[in-house]
Amino acid sequence: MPTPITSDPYDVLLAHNVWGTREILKLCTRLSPEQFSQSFPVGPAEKGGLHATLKHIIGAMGRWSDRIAPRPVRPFLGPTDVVIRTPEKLDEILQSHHNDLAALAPSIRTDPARLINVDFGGKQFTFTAGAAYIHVLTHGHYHHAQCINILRHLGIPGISTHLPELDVTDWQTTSDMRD
Amino acid sequence: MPTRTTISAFESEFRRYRKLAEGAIEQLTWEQLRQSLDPETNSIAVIMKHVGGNLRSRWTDALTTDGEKAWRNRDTEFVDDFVDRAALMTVWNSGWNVVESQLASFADDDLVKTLSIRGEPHSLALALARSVSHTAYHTGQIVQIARVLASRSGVDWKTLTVARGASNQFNSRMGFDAGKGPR
Repeated sequence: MPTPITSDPYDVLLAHNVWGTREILKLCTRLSPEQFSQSFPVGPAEKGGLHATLKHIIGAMGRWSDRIAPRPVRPFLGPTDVVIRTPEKLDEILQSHHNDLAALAPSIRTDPARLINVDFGGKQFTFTAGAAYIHVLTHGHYHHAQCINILRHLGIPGISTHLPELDVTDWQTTSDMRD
Repeated sequence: MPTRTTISAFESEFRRYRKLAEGAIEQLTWEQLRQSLDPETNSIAVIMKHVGGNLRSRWTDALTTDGEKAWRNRDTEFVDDFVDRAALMTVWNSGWNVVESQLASFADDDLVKTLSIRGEPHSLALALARSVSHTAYHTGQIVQIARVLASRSGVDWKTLTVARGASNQFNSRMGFDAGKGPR
């Protein structure tokens, strides 16, 4: 029997999260700026389509890394949707926020039960560090599904008709996480 | 008492996605649940059937039998053959009941145990990561489709994020019980 893939759930989710987000950003480099920011009638995409949804995913990575650290929470990624970033620019921010999350992994492994306090709009919530970490690392994939749906609805030949599968199993085929 | 911090984190994340999906589903009519946004996408009913079937197959006797059960017919999960809403909810709930009861039996020491899915060895940790991600993805689809259908039919959408006065419930979903500390 081959050696099982890593037994560290944080490593798996961390790597899958950045991979999936990057796969969508790669597709977005083939869109016009108008297509990239075209609105879709629900959620973060309502005011800015793929751009807004990706900004939401990547921004949440940075803000949750601050909450877990803990340190002062950085501002939302872009105060308004007037700030349109290219997919390439968002990829740079993705890498930076991913690095911030990855740097926290050792402390999460050591003490996943550490409690962190979070302020949401003046309300206080308490999470375990492990729960918060798993939350932010699956939050992106929840929105990946929505990005794929928006890409399909854009109806762009060669893109909307050839959308990628983004499961953990698809990520596994592109990486080597065996330990 | 065995440590369950990481398992508990997975439990709360699964629970969160179930609540999100069910919060969206309950706002739609039976007809809307079976409606696709376009010919290339599945209806919410079909996605629910797939998620229920996937979870039931993966987590029934997860540590002792392969995660792809002989009795699972994945292709039929994409066929809408429900007679009514109750039948759909039975399939959906059966998958969730299995994963929730299996998770309740695990401790963090189990994360390194090996199980198989389609004959491929997985650590329990990898299988959980794979399953919660798969569930998150389909929940994202369900919520998005539900919101579009609600918008089209003029339904006043009830937000699925933290509601006023629901802080304790939200804490619990995120793996914290104020009375007992982290679970």
